[in-house]
Amino acid sequence: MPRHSGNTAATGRKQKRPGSREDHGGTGRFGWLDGTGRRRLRACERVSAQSWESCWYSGDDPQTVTGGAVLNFGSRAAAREGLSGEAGTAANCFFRGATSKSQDFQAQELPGGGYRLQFFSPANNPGYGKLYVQEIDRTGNVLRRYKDTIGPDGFIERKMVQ
Amino acid sequence: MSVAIADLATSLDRLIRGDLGSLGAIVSAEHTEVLRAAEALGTPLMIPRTAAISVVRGLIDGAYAPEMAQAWASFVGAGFVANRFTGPIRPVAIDFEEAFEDTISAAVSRLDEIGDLVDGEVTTDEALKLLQLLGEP
Repeated sequence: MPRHSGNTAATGRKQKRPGSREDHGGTGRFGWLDGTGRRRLRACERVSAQSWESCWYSGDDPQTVTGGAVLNFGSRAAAREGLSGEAGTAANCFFRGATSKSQDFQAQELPGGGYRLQFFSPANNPGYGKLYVQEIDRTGNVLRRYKDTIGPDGFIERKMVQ
Repeated sequence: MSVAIADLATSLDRLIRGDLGSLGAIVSAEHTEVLRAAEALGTPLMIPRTAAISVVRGLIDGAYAPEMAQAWASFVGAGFVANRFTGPIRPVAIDFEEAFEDTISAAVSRLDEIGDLVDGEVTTDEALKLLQLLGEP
């Protein structure tokens, strides 16, 4: 079992593609930063004000995500120690790349025992930020690694590493 | 150990010490060869503080192109060359000098942003601040 601190979020939540209709409009807009500079990525507000639907942004096509448990870590240090075994070694290395400004450290379980690891770092340019993502299998092999740049108007670019 | 792997191990050793002249050899090698080269070195790979200093200073002096500094940062951060191989990949285990891990990590992360649409340029002033962060006057 993975070791983690913080909350274990609900699973199976619907994913949304950046730029999809639900990600824009209303009072909320995907990737927007509030007045304090705090990121507002996970709470996606629907166009319709009648209901809210939370989502967990992965930046991926919805079809590729099957909704394992999400482990939220309160700090970079907690994230680095949050998983065990070979996956834990890989997670430690990945989260090492976070800086003191980084936040929202998460690991989402993937089918087969792997994890999608991610954290967010505000950019030096106010209103912008980067979401760092790495998917690993149960043995710590890297399946995918990329970063999404997000600005006041939402998704800007994805840079693939693997 | 073959001569090719021995040569690659030498290049890898230089690269993790901040000698970007060895970057081409690593970038052009198969990842399995890089893993074998790392194993051949016999000791865990570790980025010393001086390596990060060397790369940042090279960036300031113009000895290293920004793209080279980014490629170095990407490799030491991820443990493999970006976008060269498909499928699952076993990263090369690369540690950062323990006493300076956070500052080395900060420098590596910043250099890896070179070329991004946002924050994609490391100015000389910022590079000098990175050197200070790394303990250089």
